[in-house]
Amino acid sequence: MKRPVKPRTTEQWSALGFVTPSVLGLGLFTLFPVGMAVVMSFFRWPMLGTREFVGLDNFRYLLGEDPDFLTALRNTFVFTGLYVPLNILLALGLAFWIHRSRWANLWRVLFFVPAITPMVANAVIWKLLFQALGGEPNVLADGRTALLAVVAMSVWQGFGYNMIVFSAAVNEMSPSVLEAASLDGATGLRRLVSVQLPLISPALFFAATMTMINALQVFTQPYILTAGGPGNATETLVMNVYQAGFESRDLGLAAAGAWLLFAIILGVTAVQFVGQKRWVHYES
Amino acid sequence: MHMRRGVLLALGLAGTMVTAACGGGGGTGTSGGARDTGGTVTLDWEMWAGSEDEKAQLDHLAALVTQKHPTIKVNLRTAPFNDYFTKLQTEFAAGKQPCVVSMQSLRLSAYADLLEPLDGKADAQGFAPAALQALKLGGKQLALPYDLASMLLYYNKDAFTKAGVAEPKSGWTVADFEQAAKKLSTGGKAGFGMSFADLHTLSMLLTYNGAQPVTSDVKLQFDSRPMVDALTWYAGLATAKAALVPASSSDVGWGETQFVNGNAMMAVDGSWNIGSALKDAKFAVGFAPLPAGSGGSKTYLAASGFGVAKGCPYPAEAAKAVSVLTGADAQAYLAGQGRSFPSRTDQQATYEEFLVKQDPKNAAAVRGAIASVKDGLAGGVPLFTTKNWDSVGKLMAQYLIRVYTGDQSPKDALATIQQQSARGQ
Repeated sequence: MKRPVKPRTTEQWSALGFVTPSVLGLGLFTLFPVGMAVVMSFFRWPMLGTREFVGLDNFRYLLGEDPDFLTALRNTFVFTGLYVPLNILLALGLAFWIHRSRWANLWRVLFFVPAITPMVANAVIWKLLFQALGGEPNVLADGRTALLAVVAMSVWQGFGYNMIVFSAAVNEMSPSVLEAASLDGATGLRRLVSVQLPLISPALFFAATMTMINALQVFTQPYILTAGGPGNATETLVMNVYQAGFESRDLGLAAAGAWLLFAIILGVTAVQFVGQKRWVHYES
Repeated sequence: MHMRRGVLLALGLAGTMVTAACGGGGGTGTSGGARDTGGTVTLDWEMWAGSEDEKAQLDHLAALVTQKHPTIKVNLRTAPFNDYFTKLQTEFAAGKQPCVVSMQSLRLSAYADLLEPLDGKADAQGFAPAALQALKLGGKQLALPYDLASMLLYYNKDAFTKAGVAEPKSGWTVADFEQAAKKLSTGGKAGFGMSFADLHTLSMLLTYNGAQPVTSDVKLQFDSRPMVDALTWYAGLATAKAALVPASSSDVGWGETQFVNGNAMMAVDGSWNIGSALKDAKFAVGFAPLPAGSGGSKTYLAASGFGVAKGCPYPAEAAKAVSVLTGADAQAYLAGQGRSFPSRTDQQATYEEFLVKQDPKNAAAVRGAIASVKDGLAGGVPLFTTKNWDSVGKLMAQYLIRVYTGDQSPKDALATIQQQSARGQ
């Protein structure tokens, strides 16, 4: 298995030169913290004070004793389960509608505005809206409606981005394919399901995957709107990690929680990538 | 040099890990001060500030230090209040803490091991005893106070006159308060704005029956009998439709905001907001001590001040700086700027005069407020907190709101708070 060692050419050296900054950046700011988080998750690592190795205790605590972690996990999944489909459906519907509108560009800008305004500002305004809505108790103070209110605000904030992605894909649909389909008599729902959706399936896949990853990391909206309450009705996984790290000052526990979240996201994304072979069509 | 790229990458990574690991040492490093060749010591001072005005006031204090001790310079670093403690703990964790640390009495226990006791090192004369007491833990003076706060009952004078209800005053009882709250709850407005914030809520429970969430040896007792009774009474204001319930667990400043907006006719708020309430409210504001329960009117007290971080390379200079920052001149200056109620007894009148001068037509209200603060100081107890008070505050926000909306019983909610915050107290 001996291969001759090629002499280094100038090109290779300059390639190395170009790549080094980003490799160093990746190593220093991504790989090192990721590796460090693994190490920390096996320690009792208070922000202030001495640390000690505790093996799997942090994970055991999160999955067994922590009164909030499993609820946070459930809330995160409920949020994702509601937010992702609503977001995709709304974005898709509007993208198709806008495609035929005379004022396409105006609508695109209008619907994209929430996506580019800072999330915190959006959440604060929505909180004021919910307060102005009144009600006894307020939707944000009622354990049955608080999470739904968070979903509603998040969909409003998030669908604009997907709509732009879908809008671009819809514009790119090949006219010849669409014409062929209409000559074959495909109209309405049939045309949408069998021709148009397959044509934009790469965009759908991209949007579904990214939206799902973002949804599993939801933090700002519940943090501003409800602070996890009432009770722990709107506490999410990232809030749990934040609470462990910056309120309980237990960095080991926070790292363990973050790793569990990472594993969940990795798993869900892997399933999506395996599943995409069945429904995503790339033009070759 | 026939090193392969993989090897280079591995070496590079290993290198960064080693460097980073060395840099991230625990909070034992010496930082926060430096001495130049001329012998002048520059000390870092970290403080919260919300505006350029506040920053300018603090810069003035820093200059006072150099005026008094020409060989000491103070380098001010600020952060908004909401980020201040997050920043501070990160700095301590990284060994980058300042020499002079600003500290609030409610957070003191979390930082107790990181502060140098000041007993005998800095001038502790002339302070209101309660202010010193609030920044003392385990018999050690961990910081010197620059202000002192008590909780007051803020009320809407116009609404009281209109409803023909006698205004609150010293000696007003819990029963009087309850009656007034019910009478004032008409036409979509409520008599009282509820809260779940620590000082605001716990002071009302304290004055009702002396209930305390923390024992004298700083252990949590949220589930104790008096706490359950007091919370049952407090939440009863909501069920009787005499009080506005916060709209969500993130509305930490609910009661006082609804009061200033004119939606609640009474609220509990700290003495630090006297000036801003008079300025912002579109009605006449009155102030009274908290209504008296079984043991008379009581309130929790809080103080903020400055301490010296352990590991500061120039502790003697830092202690001198703290003495100046909390000294009579600094306090007179801050009181004249209307910053907050001074911790030094002699300067308290200056603060009162500032408020009167700023708002002459409300002079009577201001004098009433200051009298109520002094009343409060007489019946006041410092609120000592546990190390995990941030978590406790979060739990109070999440679970007390369930009690107010009738979703959970006071007993169950307090048991939950107690149980969940027992870890790490």
